[in-house]
Amino acid sequence: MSSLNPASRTGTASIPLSTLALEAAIELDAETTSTPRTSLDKSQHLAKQLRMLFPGQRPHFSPDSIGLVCGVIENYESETEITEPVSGYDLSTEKAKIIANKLEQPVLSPTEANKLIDFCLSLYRATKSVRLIHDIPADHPYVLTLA
Amino acid sequence: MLRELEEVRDHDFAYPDVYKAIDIIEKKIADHVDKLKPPFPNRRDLKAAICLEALADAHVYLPFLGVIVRSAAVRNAFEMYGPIRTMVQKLFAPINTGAEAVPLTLNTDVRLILSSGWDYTSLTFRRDPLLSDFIFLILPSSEASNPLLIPLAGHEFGHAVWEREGLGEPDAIPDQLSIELTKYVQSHSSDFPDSTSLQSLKPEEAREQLETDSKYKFYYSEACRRLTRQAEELFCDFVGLYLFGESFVHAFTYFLSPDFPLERSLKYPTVKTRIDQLFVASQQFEQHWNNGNYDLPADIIDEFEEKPSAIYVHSPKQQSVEPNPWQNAVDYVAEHSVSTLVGKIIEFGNRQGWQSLRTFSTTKRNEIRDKAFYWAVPAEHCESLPNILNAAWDVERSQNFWDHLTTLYSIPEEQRNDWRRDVLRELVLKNIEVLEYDDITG
Repeated sequence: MSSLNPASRTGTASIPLSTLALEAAIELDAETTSTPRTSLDKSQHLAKQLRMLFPGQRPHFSPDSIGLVCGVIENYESETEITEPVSGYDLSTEKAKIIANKLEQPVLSPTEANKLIDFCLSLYRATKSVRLIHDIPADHPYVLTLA
Repeated sequence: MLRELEEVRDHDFAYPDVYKAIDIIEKKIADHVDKLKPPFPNRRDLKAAICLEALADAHVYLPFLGVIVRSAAVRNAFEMYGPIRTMVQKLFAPINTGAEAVPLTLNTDVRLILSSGWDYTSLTFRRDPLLSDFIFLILPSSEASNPLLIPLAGHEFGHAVWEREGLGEPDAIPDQLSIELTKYVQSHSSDFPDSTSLQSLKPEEAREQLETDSKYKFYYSEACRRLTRQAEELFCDFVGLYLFGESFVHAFTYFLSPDFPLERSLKYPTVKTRIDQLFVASQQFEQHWNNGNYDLPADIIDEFEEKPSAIYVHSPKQQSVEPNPWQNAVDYVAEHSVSTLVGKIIEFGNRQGWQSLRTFSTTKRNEIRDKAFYWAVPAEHCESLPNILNAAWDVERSQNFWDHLTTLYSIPEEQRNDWRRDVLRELVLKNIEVLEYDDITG
């Protein structure tokens, strides 16, 4: 899913969203053994990316992945109420803000940290699920592989 | 993999780009080895994700390594390497935005790995974040030394253009295509269950419904994925045509006529659509540049014959997951995106690097064919690779071209076609060397 990498056009070195989500999960996991948080780098970076990718209106994802990623965002269970009834992109944007705020908090309860790790892993899977390697038209009919 | 990388490094490679790629892959794998050392994460699913990353990279980079190893195989035509590397360096040359005319600067950061593989198709790798400077061109082993098929590289370079120009980014062509797909769904609501309510909405509002409502989003996202891929494939065909002119269409025909023999990948337009749209693109190129370079012989179309559609209908794999209206929508919208795609190439064609790749001409091609190839000798001052290849395809398509050569009659009649073929291939490879020499000596 190269299209999920905001910097892929320029060719600059950047961290793909899936990698960032996984690294943030590792950082959050380390926190569950030490209080307060030893590092906020990856979590803050992910929070910044979420705000950029969900700016209000239509999120910055390709049409083929937007539904999947919005689904992951919307499934995050937060204790913060969304006061107005919203749906579609607005709901995803509101939820993304709530998640970004959480990621930036210096102190998290173990429950909150675990919920965020769940979210990061879901985001990792959603954005990592398809990786096209090369340009072969179709599977060969006589090739059987292990997986 | 680290041990394998050490062994690969000992191969005798013909050009330095390969060693750079090996260094990069080696560092990535070594990083994974470090990450897999204790202490491990507390959560089992997180540890699994880290292992999955390492496993994914083994899946991703071993094929790269295989291509690198095969790049040293003597079956590859190393004569091609220099001129086609120059071609990609022009394709991605820095864009001169100043008013003054300055000499063209090649983009020497772009690296090329030319190799062969055991799939009967030319192919390339997706731009890997780690190997982002590299373009991989893999030709089928059985044809790796056949210079008449070099134009297929044009299609593969099209993928590199698509990715490096950000055409597949969310706000670029996929955005336009998804709106067109949405309009198609709105105007064919009888084909799509529960879609009547979309009819009265603006396309942007209807798209939001299709993208977020669980009734549609699975089908819609898959349709968008296929549509973007189909558009990319068409775009790549047009880049091949832009770079090589008529010889691209002959190489395309050699490989894909009368039709793709295996089950159609739904991420590709049908072969018939592709050849038809190549003709549409050639007309649009001619309307714009009007230089005769993109006129195509009409008889090429006769080489194609679409397989009966029953082959697809009886494919249980596709039937089980395909509501056909969605695939019909994908095929229709992709086919109607051609003007947008050609428009992009015309836009890029204004760039200095791209202009320098469009300098081939019918006059030069005829001169090479009639004054040099006629006597089975290479031509000097050919000016560009497509001039040589277009002349070569003229010879390939003309059965009697060398009937005046007395050498031909010393060969048994049943072997003459093989002789013609072998001489033409050797002649073209030799001429490519002469072209490179001309470039070096100015």
